[in-house]
Amino acid sequence: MGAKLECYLDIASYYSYIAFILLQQNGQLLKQNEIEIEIYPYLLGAINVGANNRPPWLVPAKGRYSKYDTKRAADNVGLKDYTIPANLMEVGKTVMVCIGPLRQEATATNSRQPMRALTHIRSAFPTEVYTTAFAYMFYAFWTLQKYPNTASVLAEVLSEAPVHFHLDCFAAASSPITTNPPSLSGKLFTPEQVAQILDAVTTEEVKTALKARVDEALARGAFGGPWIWATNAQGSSEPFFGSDHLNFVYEFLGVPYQKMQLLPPQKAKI
Amino acid sequence: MGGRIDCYTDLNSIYGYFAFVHLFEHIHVLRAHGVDVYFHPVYLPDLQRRSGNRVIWTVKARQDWLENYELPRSKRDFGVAEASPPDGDLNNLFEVGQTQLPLRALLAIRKIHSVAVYNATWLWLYRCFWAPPQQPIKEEASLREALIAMPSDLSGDNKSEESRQFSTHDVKNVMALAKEEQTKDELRKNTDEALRQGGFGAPWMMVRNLSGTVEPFFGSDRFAQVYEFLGLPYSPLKLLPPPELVESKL
Repeated sequence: MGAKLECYLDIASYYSYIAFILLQQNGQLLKQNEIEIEIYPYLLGAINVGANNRPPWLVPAKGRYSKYDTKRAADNVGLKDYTIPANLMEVGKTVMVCIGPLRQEATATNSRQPMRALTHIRSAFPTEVYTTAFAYMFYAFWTLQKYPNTASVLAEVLSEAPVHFHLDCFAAASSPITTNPPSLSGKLFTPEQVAQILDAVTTEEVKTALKARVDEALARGAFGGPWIWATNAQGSSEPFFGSDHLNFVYEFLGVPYQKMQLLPPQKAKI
Repeated sequence: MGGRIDCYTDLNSIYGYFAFVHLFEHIHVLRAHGVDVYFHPVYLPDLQRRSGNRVIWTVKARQDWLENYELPRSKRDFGVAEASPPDGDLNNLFEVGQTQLPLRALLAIRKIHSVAVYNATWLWLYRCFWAPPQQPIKEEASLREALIAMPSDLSGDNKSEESRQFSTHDVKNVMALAKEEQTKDELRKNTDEALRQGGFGAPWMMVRNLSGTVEPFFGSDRFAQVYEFLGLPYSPLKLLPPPELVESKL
């Protein structure tokens, strides 16, 4: 069995979005290194509950600091125009959102509907369609501030998703952005397909599949998001948490990588 | 006005140890870039308590992940693979992590000795605390012994007795100053300062860039962002193509 990254992501998790972008940027290189990537929709709220990761305290100092950390994470991957929902607490009802590896803030936006939709899309559509749908859901949540936690908003988001949706920051830093951006006029899903996805969201089959995914993540040690289960070429597997320790993932996978390195001042050229 | 990094840390924090090791190893290249590094002792349990932060090991899955995966990976990454709390039990930190006295001794050393000696003593005391065979530094008698045993050359794992950093007389003076009220005040003031700046844990770093802007950074895994903020040249983490692919292109 080959090496593999299985990534559990929730659109309501900011650092899941950062991880998703990093996976897009490094997708080609991972493939060249024969690392297969699987992206699974899961429910961070259910993970927090399942792992009993519901700290009753809120640390105001951490809240103040997180605005720096979220901004730096965005700058690092080139993500622009995102908004951390200010009223996560009020907006939502049942789901917790993790916006920091060390910080769980009670919130908010119930991602059950969109995560079920993505669960269905993953099994019923080609991988590219699924990945594009996941990308657009992230974009809708964090940039358009459309929270697809009701059937109507979900329908709207699915209907408007462009067929070749991508952000500039999805391109690898080393490779130039494609000069001819693909047409954005076409839609990812036809109205019939949107209706079909909305139907699927309410079925036991999809609910069970998402729940099984959450249980799998819990069994693999998850207590937050993004959660990554990496399997190396020798067939051994380890969990990784967060979007900021890809060096550990590369080390474990045994793929060639260069560590972050501070460089000396450039000597004046003679 | 150059850039500067003010790092608030405690000996009982392993992430403080990681950050210290990184900054200590890069102190000269940072200086070459016009960035000065200053270490400030803070008493972490106080900082956490007063900021309302709690130790997070109460979530079992998180603790399992920390102990089995995250900490070993970070230790290897920072070149201190063997580091472990005394007796190997993180929960011992509540007891052995009462580091007020060694932190005050550091403050005293900063006043009496050079910055180079002060920074070296940080490294030595971190090693005493975390690197096997650990030496106790919490109580006065053991701290004296640890300071007397400090070699003048800390490169490598040198614990030889040939050349000592401090004479018995030096240590006596350091300990006398460490126990003075003014030194206790100073430690408290450092913790106050870190709190005032928004700190809630260690390592807590206030970084000033060349335009005079100051921003906080938390943790030992944010140095790329620190360098970005300082406008220093660095090569980011990079996944590379497999060697076969590189060769076939040649």
